[in-house]
Amino acid sequence: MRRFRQGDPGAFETLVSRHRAAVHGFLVRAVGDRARAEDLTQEAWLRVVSAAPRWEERARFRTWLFAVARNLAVDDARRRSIRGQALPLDGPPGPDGPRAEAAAADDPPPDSLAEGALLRPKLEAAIAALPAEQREVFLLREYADVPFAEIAAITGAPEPTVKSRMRYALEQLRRQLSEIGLAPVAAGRSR
Amino acid sequence: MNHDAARDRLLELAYGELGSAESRRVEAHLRTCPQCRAELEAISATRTAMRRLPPERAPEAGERVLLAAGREAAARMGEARRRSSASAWLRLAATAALVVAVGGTSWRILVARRERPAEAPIDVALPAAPAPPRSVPEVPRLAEAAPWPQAPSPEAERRGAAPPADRGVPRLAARGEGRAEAAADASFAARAKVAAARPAAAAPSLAAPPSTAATRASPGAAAAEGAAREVDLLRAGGNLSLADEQRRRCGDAEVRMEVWRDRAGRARRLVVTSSDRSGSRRADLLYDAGGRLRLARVEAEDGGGGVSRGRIAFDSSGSRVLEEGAGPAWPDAELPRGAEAGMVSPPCPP
Repeated sequence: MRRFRQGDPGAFETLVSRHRAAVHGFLVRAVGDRARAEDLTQEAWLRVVSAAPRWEERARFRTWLFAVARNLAVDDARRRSIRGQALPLDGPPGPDGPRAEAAAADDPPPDSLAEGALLRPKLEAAIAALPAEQREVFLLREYADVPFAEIAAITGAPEPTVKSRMRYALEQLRRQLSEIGLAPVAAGRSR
Repeated sequence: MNHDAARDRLLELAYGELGSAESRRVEAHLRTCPQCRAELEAISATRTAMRRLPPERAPEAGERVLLAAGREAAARMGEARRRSSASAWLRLAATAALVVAVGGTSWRILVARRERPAEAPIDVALPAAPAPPRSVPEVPRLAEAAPWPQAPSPEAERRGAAPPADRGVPRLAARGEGRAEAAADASFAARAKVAAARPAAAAPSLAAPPSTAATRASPGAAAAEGAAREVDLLRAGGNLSLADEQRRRCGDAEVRMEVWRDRAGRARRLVVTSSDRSGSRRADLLYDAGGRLRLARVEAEDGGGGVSRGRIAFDSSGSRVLEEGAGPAWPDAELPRGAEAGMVSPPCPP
């Protein structure tokens, strides 16, 4: 980012190639809608461009970038709830209800699932079924590799709260995965 | 380390966030605590399962616009930096000139006072004085050595005079990085407006179309690309906003349509997405200022995550002049030729 601010166009391309897929992946799973995520990804990067002249190196670029993306996802969810639409962060609606339910029930046993193609919607459904504040923490830590302290900075929640949300998220995921036969059982944290 | 302390650190251990000494202490506890071992195994097992989710591929659409916007911003920031550096040199040079001039004058006065006979004119004494520090004649050289700023171009002046655009800017919670929440870069928005106002051929720096053989061969396709590029530029400059969203059901499929309007209120972009159990289809439709469809960026995804993308360009009469990319057929019914006509109701997929 420093080099970009100094006028190095290659530096921006490096940032884009290094982080664009991660931001897009985060947004897809945070808003549960690829088309919206695509728009938000673009928006996030355009904001990076427009804010670059005022950039201050007070956080890692990646942390700041995910803060931008996360705020866009939150604003998007808020706009949709104001418009009276189902909150996308609660999972995109499917023909027969939320995808989580559709995926969890009446499906073939996991042995017969082809790795990847059929697994993907189930895992996505499990993530979509998480409460929004747990989902963002899980996505940032698990897939975007953002440390807990930085997630706290991004979300504005204290670090112990972030870790607590992560524990709840992992427990819920474990339960869901074991319901569809995808996760080995092991006793979770008792509460 | 006691049980509670170790248990509280299992998450950090699983994600590699503990230092080596603390990791060793937690691991020592794990050897004696089956409950903590089971908990760590549960975390690891869940992570392993969730890691089987394939990574999302970044969409190609929009990347060219983005990189072009980045190049333009880099050029602007580089220019601003050079100017700032030049003015710093100028200030330094001016200060040096002042110091030298004042010093030289003081020296002359001092020497004159020392050596001037009671009645001798000052001029007589001057040649006898030691040469003062080489001053005034040196100053221009000092200034010339510094990079001289270019006179601002009319366009740069226009940019500087542009009012701040009302675009959101990132905020980072909790640590005060909210300073970055200041108004967005007005110059970027203004420049995008200026660029968008130019004819396509005169604004090659943003989002030049890919030089496909089909595009080169067909003037109609090139015109369509130019019209679409104008919409991209409006969007890049924050001059296109989501104005409406509609949903409808078409059998098992849910169809959603977004309407994006420019500042004059004209619909310039429709995004139509339909999804059902078998997958989803998305058409990103770009319209010229006359409300005519000029480019459709289409994407179809099967239920397993396989994606095909393509582009269909139209001339001003609505005929297809270019089709690129593999994928399922996109019938005309899904590609409303007029923006306002298309907004009546989202089209149903075949």
